[in-house]
Order: sequence, then structure tokens, then C-alpha cells
Amino acid sequence: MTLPARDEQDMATRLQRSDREAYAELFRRLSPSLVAYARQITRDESAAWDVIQDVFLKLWSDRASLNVRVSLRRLLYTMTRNRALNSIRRKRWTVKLPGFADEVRAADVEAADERLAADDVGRFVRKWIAELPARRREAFLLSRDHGLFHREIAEIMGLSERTVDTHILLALRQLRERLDALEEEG
Amino acid sequence: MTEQGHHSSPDLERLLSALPPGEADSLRRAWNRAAESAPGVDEARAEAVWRVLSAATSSDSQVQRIRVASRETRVRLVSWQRAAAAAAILIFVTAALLLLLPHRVNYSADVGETMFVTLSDGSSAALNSGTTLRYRDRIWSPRSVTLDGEAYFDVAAGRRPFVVATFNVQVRVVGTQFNVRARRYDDEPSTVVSVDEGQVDISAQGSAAARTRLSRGQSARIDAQRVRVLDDQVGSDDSGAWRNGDLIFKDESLGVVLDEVARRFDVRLQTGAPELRSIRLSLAVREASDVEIVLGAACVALNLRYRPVSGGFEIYSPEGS
Repeated sequence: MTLPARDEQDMATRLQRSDREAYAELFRRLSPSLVAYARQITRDESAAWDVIQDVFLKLWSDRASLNVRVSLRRLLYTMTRNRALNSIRRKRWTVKLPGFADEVRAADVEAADERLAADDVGRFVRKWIAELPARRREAFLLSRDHGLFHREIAEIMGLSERTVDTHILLALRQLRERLDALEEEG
Repeated sequence: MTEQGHHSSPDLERLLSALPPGEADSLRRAWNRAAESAPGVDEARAEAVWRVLSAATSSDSQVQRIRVASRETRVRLVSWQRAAAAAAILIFVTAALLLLLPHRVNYSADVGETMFVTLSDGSSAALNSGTTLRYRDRIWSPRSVTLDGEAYFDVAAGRRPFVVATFNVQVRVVGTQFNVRARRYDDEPSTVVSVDEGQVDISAQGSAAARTRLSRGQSARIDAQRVRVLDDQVGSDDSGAWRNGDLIFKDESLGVVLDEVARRFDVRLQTGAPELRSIRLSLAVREASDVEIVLGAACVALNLRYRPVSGGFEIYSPEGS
């Protein structure tokens, strides 16, 4: 799933030479994380997969001009982020006017919650993460679920590294408080 | 995703190392908890997407590539058109809201209180007790307020006329000070306009063409039948005197006087016999601070009595009871 730095450069070079094996491997290794990231932003499974398809198509069509010095992983995350944000922007334009947008989104989130309900605490934690402010949640999950360095998160999200630090610390504190409260109840 | 879940990142350790050990541990625990909830991946969907990608990118399938590309373009176009349509609707609706549904402001001075309001154009109005002023802040229309009750206006100079509408009168002014009393639930509903400074034009509601011009020191009473200009009946000094707490009535019915006093002091005032309300009187109480002072003055003038009843007072005739 993750991609060691040497592999990554190697992969970029192979892609440049239209190596379809490398392309397939890249998809196999990175698409689960990328789709999770896209889903996190769009809150819609189908839209997330559309984004991933789009990103990988673009990657292949631009393979000749790939910069091997720029991290492939960072490039793919950035592309995913931009397309996912575009996708919800389009969705907002078309859905928000009649006034259903919030209900639709709430329903999506609930459905996602149910899908993910492994155990009770897990479900609570998912819910709490979903309730974090959008950018804080994004930074937190990129670090937590995607194992990205704060430097990478900062580059992908267009923030300073310090801001990423702050986002993640605040997210953790918020989760810890909720956990403490839950344990006191139980 | 799950396998990498439990070891924390070097960045996290860097953050936690700056914290007290107890807090670092509890945050690390929260981190690990969050890891357990990471979502899985829909394998079937991944497979389907890969098949499309694989087909679209294989070098020997030009046709496929074109098809995918063209579909993509069409989708973009449609969503662009939708966005444009949505933007147009949004702009239209916003403009309509701004122009057709003007921003409404409601000021109310309750009984027993007075209020001073400054309007957005710099004009001000002092509201007497039991008065509502509605201000419609519309872009192109004249500066216009609707008055139910009594208010003293100090209108800021401006190119657009300032209009005060009451239930039966329109008062149009340009930069002036004047009092409007519009008590539609008086026994004889009327609006009294008194000018302190400058000039105003008044016209009965529904007959804007027939205007009467009032100058400094002039007053007019507009009732159901006519517009009467009262040069001396209510002196200009007295028209806004309520603002100092003065209660001044000239040839007014007792009913109107009692209603005004009741509003001022937030008490209930009733008359023993209904016909008492139509007795006329003139009365001036400066800086009236107590309802009984006013009642006492009115009763002395009219040879009546008053007595406390629940929530207020009753005015009655000593011969009648």
C-alpha cells in the first residue's frame, strides 16, 4: 500500500517508458488509500471511484511528462484531492439550490457509518472523526490512515507544516476527550 | 491500511515528545483507537475501475480511449451548463430578494417606555410609548417608514424625500424636524403632524395628488373626513414635548387623553360611564412622573374622581355613582 521512496522513483521512470506492469502495480498499491481519501472528501463511494478512475487516466496520459523528482505519491494525492473537491463543488452547484444538499450528505454519511460499524467503539470513533472540522479531519486521516508525513500533508493540502501539526494535535485531543467521556459512561 | 495502523508516525512522536508523558500516552491511545476504525476497500469496485483503466490505456485500443475521452468531455459540458444555469438562477433570485423583498426593520417602544432610533440614512426618530416604526430599507425607493403611534423625527438632508406613512396620511419631507401622532385606535382616529423645522407635504393615503404644505410652527390634523391645518392649536413647542416627559393636550377628548396616559405609564385606565370618554379637555403636565399627578389634574379640571382598581384606575363622575 505504501511506496518506499526508491520504488517510487523507479516506478515513475518505468511509467515514463509506458510500462503497463508498473501502472497496474501502482493502481493496486495506491488506489485503496486514494479512494479512501476521495471518499473522505466526497462522502460518496461512487463519486470517489470516479475520481480515482479520472486520476489514473490522467496519470497515464501525462506519463511522458512525469517529473521523477516529485514524489509520485504526493502527485497522486494532490490530483485526487483537486478532483474530489471539484466533484463536490459540481455536486453543490447542482444539488444545493433545491435545498436537499444537506439531507443528501447526511444520508450518505449515515450509510457510510453503518457500513463501517465493526464494533461499537469503532463506530463511535468513526462518527467523531466525521464530526471533526473538514480540514482537521482531512489532515488527521492523511496522517492516521494514509501514513503520510506531515511535510507531505502540508504540500498536498497547501498548508504549513506547523498548521498540520496543530490540526492533528487538536484532532487527537478532541477524540481523547470523547473517548474519556465514553469510558466514564460505560 | 489496517496493518500499518498501530505503529504511530515519526511526526506524531515528534509532536508527542513535546507534551507531558501522561498526555502523550492518552493521545497515543486515541490514535490507536482511531486506527481500528479505518474503512475497508470495496474489491469488486476496484476491479471494475481497473478494467476500465486497463482498457482505456492499452496501446492497441484507440477506440476505447476516444470513447472514454468523449464521454468525459460531454459530462464536463453538461455540468458546466448546469453550473452556469444555477449561477444565473442564484443571481436572479438574489437580485429579486434584494429589490423586491426589502430588508425590513421593526422598532417598537412598548407601553411605559420610549425609544430613540437612528435610521440607516442618518435620520433619527424618538418613539413615544406604544409605538411601532417599520422601516423598509429598499434600494431605489424613497426613504420611507411606516408609523403606528407617535414619533418625533429629525430627518437628515438627502436627495430622496423622506416619507412617513401612517394609516391615513403620507408625510413627505426634506431635511426637517417634526412630530407625527397617528393613533388609529383613538376614539376619533386621526393623525396629527406638527412641524418644528423646515417644511413637509402631507397627503391623505390614497390621494397623493392633494398635498398640503406645512411650514415651521404649523400643525395639521387629518381624520377620516378632512385635513385641518391648526396654526395655533398645538404650538410647535409642544408637539414633541412628550420627549421630555411632558403630557400636553389641547381640546382633546378624555378617551384620547386616558389612552395616551395609559401608554405612558403602562397602567389600565377606564371610565365609569362610557360617555365620559367624549368630554373634551386641555391639559398640560410638565415632566409628568406619576400617573396620579396626571389623573389628579384631569379630574380637577373636569370635576371627576378617580379610584384604584385592579391593574390601574377608574375615572368616574361623583354625581353618577
